[in-house]
Amino acid sequence: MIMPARSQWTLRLALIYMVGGATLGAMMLIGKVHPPLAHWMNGLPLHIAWMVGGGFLQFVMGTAFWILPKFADRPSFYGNVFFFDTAVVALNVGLIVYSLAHGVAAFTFLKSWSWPLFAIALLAWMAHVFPRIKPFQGVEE
Amino acid sequence: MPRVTRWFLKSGLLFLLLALAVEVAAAIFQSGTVAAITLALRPTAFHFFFVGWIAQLIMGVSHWFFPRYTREKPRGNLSLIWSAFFGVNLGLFLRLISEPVFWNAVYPWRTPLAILAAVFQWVGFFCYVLHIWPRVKGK
Repeated sequence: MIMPARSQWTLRLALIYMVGGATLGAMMLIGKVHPPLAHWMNGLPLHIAWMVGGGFLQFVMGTAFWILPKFADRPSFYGNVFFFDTAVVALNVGLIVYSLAHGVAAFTFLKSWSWPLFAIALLAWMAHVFPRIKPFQGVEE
Repeated sequence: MPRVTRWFLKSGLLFLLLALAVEVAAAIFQSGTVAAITLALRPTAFHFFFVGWIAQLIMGVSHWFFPRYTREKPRGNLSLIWSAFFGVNLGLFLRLISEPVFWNAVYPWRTPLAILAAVFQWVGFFCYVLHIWPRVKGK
């Protein structure tokens, strides 16, 4: 089963976020036990967003696009790819906005902007993935 | 199912059980010694769930299912994925014995253990990404 380009890009982004999130997590644990570096613990919101949203959820999105049942009888084999693209773009723009808002003092005004983007990402991904939750080749087991 | 995948999944299930046990204890004991212990264990229990369970599930299953690396070495560099397994699991174990009481100055050995826990977990994730990156491809 060939992994489509959309899955590849989504999975690569997920892996990058995983490394970034794990790096922040390691820094935070060191900051907990080494008081001069206690300010590293301020990275908690980014650590959670990068690991859970950017890493794990994005990994699930990329893998689901690849392995869920497809539509052999439609021009678009993978279903509505516009919704999938919207979800990936909204999630990643949301993560950038969230990271700026929580990581750079000059951008704190962006704090409330990321959540609507995350909501768009979730709704678009659900719109993409719902029709693909079906029997393989239309055959019930 | 490859051996390392089986280890990831079985270890993941054990960490899921541990995370659930902490949350169940926290729900049952609202005060007293057990409540204090579960409160101290909570950050560790979150990591048991997200790293011990979710991340290990992802690592194990993707190693099993992702496109083969080459015809000769279909699953790529096995030493990297085993390093990921040991890094994550040793890191979580060290985290369990160092993180919950990290403010306690009576036990200064806990500081180096927590730093080791951080390094092991980071190495685990990094080795996993190094291992799986070349297998994210068309076929």
